[in-house]
Amino acid sequence: MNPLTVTSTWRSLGRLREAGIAGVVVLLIVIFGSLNPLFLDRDNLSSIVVSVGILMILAIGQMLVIITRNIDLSVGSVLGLSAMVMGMVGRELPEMPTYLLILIAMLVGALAGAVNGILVAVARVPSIIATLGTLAIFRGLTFLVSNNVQVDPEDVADEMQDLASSGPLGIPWLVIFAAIVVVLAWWFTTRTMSGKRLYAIGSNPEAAEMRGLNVLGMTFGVFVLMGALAGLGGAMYVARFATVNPADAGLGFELAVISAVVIGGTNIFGGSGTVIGTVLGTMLVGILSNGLTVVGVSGFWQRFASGAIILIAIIADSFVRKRIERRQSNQTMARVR
Amino acid sequence: MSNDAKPHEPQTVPASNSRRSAVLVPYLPSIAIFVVAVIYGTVSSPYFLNFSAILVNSGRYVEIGMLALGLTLVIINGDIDLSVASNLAVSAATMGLLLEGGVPIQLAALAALAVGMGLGAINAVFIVGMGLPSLVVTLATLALYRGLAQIILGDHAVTAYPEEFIGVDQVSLLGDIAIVPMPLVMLIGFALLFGFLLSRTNFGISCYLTGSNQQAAKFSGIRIDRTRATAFMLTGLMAGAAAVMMTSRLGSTLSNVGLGLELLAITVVVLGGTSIFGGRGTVLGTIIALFAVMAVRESLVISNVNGQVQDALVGVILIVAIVVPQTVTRFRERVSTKRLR
Amino acid sequence: MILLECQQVSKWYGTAKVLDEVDLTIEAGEIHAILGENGAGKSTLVKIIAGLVSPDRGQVFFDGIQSRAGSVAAAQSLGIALIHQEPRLFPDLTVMENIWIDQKLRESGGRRFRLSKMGDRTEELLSRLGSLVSPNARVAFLSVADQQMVDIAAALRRDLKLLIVDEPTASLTPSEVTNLFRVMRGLRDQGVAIIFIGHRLEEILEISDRITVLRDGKLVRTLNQSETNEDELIRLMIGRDIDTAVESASPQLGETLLSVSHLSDEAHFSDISLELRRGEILGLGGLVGSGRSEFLETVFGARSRTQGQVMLNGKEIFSIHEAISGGMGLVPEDRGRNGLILLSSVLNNISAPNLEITSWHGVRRPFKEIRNADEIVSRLRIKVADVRQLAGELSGGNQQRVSLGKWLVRDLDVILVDEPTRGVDIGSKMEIHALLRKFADSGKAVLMVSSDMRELLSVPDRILVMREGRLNGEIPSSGASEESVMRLATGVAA
Repeated sequence: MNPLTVTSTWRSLGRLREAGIAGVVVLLIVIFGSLNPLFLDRDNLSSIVVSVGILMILAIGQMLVIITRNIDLSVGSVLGLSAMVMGMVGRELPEMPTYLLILIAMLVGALAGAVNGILVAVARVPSIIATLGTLAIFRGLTFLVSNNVQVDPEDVADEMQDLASSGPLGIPWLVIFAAIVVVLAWWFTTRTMSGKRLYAIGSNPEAAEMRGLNVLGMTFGVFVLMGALAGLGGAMYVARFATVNPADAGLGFELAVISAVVIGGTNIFGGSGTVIGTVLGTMLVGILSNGLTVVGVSGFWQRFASGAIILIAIIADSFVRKRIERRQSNQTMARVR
Repeated sequence: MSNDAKPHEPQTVPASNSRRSAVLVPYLPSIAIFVVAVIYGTVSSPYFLNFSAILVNSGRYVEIGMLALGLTLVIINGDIDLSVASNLAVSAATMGLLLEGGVPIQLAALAALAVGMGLGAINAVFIVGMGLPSLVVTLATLALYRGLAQIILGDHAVTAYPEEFIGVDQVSLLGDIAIVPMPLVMLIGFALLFGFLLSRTNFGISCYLTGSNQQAAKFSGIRIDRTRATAFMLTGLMAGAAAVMMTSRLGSTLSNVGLGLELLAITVVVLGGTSIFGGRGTVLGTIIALFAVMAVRESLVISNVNGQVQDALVGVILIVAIVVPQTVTRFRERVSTKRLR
Repeated sequence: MILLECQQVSKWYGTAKVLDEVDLTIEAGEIHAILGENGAGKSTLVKIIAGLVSPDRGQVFFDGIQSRAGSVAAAQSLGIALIHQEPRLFPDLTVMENIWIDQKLRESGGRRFRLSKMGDRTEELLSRLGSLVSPNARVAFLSVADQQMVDIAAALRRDLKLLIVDEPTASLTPSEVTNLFRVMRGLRDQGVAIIFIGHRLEEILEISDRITVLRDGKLVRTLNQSETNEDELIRLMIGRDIDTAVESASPQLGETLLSVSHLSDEAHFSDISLELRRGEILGLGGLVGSGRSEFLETVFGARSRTQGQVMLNGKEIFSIHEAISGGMGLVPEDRGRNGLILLSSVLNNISAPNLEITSWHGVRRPFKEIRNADEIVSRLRIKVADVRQLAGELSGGNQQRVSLGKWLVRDLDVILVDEPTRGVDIGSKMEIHALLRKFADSGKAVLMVSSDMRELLSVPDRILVMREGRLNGEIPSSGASEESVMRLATGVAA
C-alpha cells in the first residue's frame, strides 16, 4: 500500500468528515424546525445567518492561528475592545462614514493582535499564556477606554445598524463580509505558498526554522490577522446589537470560536485544517445555539451542549485517527517485503 | 503541557554551572511583585497594612490557592485543567441541592468533595483513558460542568445554610489572642500536604518525570496513567473543598459561583515558576505567587481600581513574569558564550 | 579542487576545549568521512563547517571565501545542506510542498517560480535520485528511507555544493543503504562534496574516498580509504589497540527465565515464541522494520498484544509494572525519547524504576536513592561530576550507561536491550558488551536486538533472526556468519 494511496484515503476520510458535519447541520435544522416552526421563520433564519457570520469571521482567524500550533484565547476581548472604540468614535463623530468606522475597528483589532504577536513570536511566551494574559488586559482596556459608559443604540448610526439586516440582493452586508473572508482564506490556504508555510510552521516548528521560513514574521502576522478579523467581528457586533457594554461585550466568545474550529476538523496540534471544515463547524455551533433557544431549551443547557459537542467531535476524530495509524503500520509492515 | 498542543520546549540542556543560585530564580518574579504591590498599597492608603483586615479578607484567595495547588500538580504532569472553576460550581450546587433536600450539612459537604473528585475523574477518563488532549477536553468540560451547574440550580439561589456552617472565614484559630483565620490555616495545611506529596513521595517524582518525558517515564516503570489520573482527581477534590469554603464564606450558592476563577488559578501557578510545558514547579512557588497576587489585588482594591482593570493588571503581571526571566536567561547565555575565548 | 578549508579551527564550550586547531580540507567531488568517538568533536566541527556556529579561533574558507556563521538559510544559499538522521520534514504536507516550501518567488536565475510546474519539477528531482516517491504523497505516510530521499531532493533543489549527512543509515534496511550510497556516488560524480558521519566502519570503508579521524578535539589523521583498514581506524580513534572479541565463555545454561509463546501484536509481528535461559545472551537479528523493537516492547508490557503469553520466572506478566517487579527491564532503542528523561537528573533517572524498593510506603528516601545512584555510577564508570547533573548533558556513551545502569540497582533476572551500542563510542561499546556478558554470567539472562552485525556475531550465544514479523530461524553463535544471518533476515536462498 503505497503512500499515495494512503494519502488519497486520508483525504477522502477528511471529506467524509466534512460531509458528516454538513449532515448533522441539516439534521439539526430538520429537528429544530419540526420542534418549533418558528425556527424556520424568516426573522429567525436571518438572525442565525447574522450570528453565524460574526462567528465565522472570528473562526477563520482562529483556525489560522491554531494551524501554526498556537491559540488565541483573547478573541472575545479584542472583539469587545474594537467594538467599544468604534462605538465611541461613532458616538463622538456621527458624520464619520461607516466604512471608515469599520476600518478603525479593524485597526484597533490589528494593534491588539500585534501585541499578541510580539509576545508569542518575539518574546517567545507560549501562546496559551500570552493570550490568557491579554484576554484580561484587553478587557481592562475596554473598561478604561469607555470610562464604564456603554454605547447605546442612539450612538450607533443607522447606516451601521443596517449592515446587519440589509444589503445587495437582500443579503446583509455582514454576510457578504463573512463570505469574502471565507473565500480569501480558502484561496490563501489552498492556492498560495504562504498559506502552505503556515501549515509547515505548525507541522514542524523546528524544521520550519531550519528551512529558513520566516517563522517569526508569519507567526506575528497570523496574530495580527486574527486581531484584524476580531476587529471586523467587533464592528459587525455593533452593527447587530447596537450596544456595547464594557463589562460583557465579547465575553465568552472564545469558547464558541474554538469549538467551531475544533469541530470543523482542525487539529489542535497544528499543521492541518480546512476552511470548509471551519465553515461547517461554525454553522453547526451557530445553529445549535440558536435552535436550542428557539425550541425553548433553557439557556442553561446551552453551555452543556457546547461542551458536549466538542467532546463528541474530538472523540470521533481520535477514533478515526487511530484507525488510520493502524492501517499505516500495516502498510509499513508490508513495505519490508 | 508536554502532552498537549503547543510548541515543545526546545530539548536543549543548559550548562549547569550555577545551580545554587538557580534555585531562587523561579521565585524572584513573585517576590518582586509582592514587594512592589505592598509598597504601592501602603503608599495609597494607611489602611492597607491593617493586618487583621487583610487576614479576614483572605477567604477568597484561599479558595484560589486551593484550586492552584491542584493545578500545580496537573501542570507539572504536563497537562492542564481549565474546568476547575466549573467543577467548583457543580460541587457547590450539589451541596446546596442536597441541603435543601434535607440532608445534614456535614454529609452535603462531603458530597461536594465527592462530586468534585468525581468530575476530576471524568476529566481523567477522557484525557488519560481515551488519550484526548487535555486543553480541548477541559475546555469542553469547562462548559459542560458550568452548564450542569446551571441546569441543577437554574436561577435559584440556595441560602438555607445553617448558622454554624456560614462564616468559616471569620473564624480565628487562636480566638482573640491573634487573628489567624481558619481558611489560611487550612490553606497552609493543604500546601504542606501537597508540598510533601510533590517533593517527598513517589507520586511527586512521578509527576515531574511524567511531565518531563512521558514516554521515557513509562518505559522506566513510572505509572503515568495513574499519576495523571490522580492529579486530575486531586484537583477535582480541591475544587470540591474550595466549593465548601466558598459557600461558607458567601452564605449562599448561585450557579455562576466562581466564574472565571480558573484563569486566576492558572496565573498563580505559572507565576509561581511552574513551567506550562510540565516537568518543573513547586508548591512553594505557587503559594508565594498567591500572596503576590493577593497583594496586588488588595492594593488595587484599596486604591479603588475597578475589577476589570484589576484583572487586566494581573494579566500584565503574568506576562511580565514570564517574559523577564526568559529574556534574562537568553541574555546571560549570549554573554557567557562570548566571554570565554 | 578544494571546496572547503578549515584552518586552525578551535572552539570552546565553557572551559572545555572541544576543537583543537583543526586543519581540514574537503575537495569537490569526494566523499569524505569524519570518524571519531563521542565527544571527539565531530558534531561541533560539522556545525562550524555548515556555518551554523562560528569558531572561536581559526578560519573556515568555503569556495575561497571566508565564511561567517549564519543561519541555516544562509548556509543553504551557499550550497551547503545538512541532512540529519531524522529528516526535518513537515509530516502534514505533501512531498512536493516539502521540497518547495522555502522557494522564493524569484529564483536564482531571475525566473519566476510557477506553482503549476511544481509537480513536474519535483518528479524530475526525485528521478535524479532514482526515487519512486510520488510528489503528492503526504510525508507522514512515507517510510524513513523515502523521507530521507525527500530531504536530499530538497537539498538538491538548489545549487548543491556540499552535502553533509549525519548517521543516515541508522534506520535503513540494507537495500535502502545500497540505494543511498548509489545516490551519494552519483552526486559525487557530479562534483558535489559529501561529508559522511557514521559509526559503522564497514560502511565508512565502503563508501568514502577519504577518512578523517578526530580524537579529543584534535585531527589525528586524514587518510585515503584504500590505504587503511578497520583495525587502524579503531586504533586511531581510541589511541590504543583493543581486543574486540568478547569472551563468550561457553555458558552453563540454567533454567528458563523468560518464556514467550505465540506472541503477536496487531501490525508488526506474529506468532513469536522463544525461551531465554539463565546465563545466556540471546541475540535477535533481522532487518530494520522486521518488528524486533515492537516485539521487545510487547514482551516488556509497553505495547498491547493480540495473542500469546509472556512468562517470567514462571509467572505470566501483562504490564510494565508486572515485568519490572517480576525481574525484567528494558533498555530501549531511542534513549533520548524512551530510555532517559534528559531534562531530569541522572539521580532521578536511575531512581525511577526502583522507587518501590527505595521508598517506604510511598515516601521517598533520598539517602537510599543517592547511594544506589553513586554505586551505579562507579560500577559502570559513568563520567559525571555529580548525580544531580542533568542526564542530557552526558555524552552518548554515558547516557547509554545510565539507561542500562538504572536496571542494575535491583536484582533483575532478565534485561531486554534494543541496540545496546547505537550512537556510542568504541570505548563505551566494549564496556557495555562486557557488562552484558558479566550480567548473564552471574546467573541472569539478556535478550538483545541488534542491527550491528559485528555486535550480533560476537556478543550473543545464540541468534534468532526475524523476518517481516516472524521468526525465520536460529543460529548458534559458533555457526554464525554475516551471510547466514542475512540469508535468514532477507529470505534469500543460498
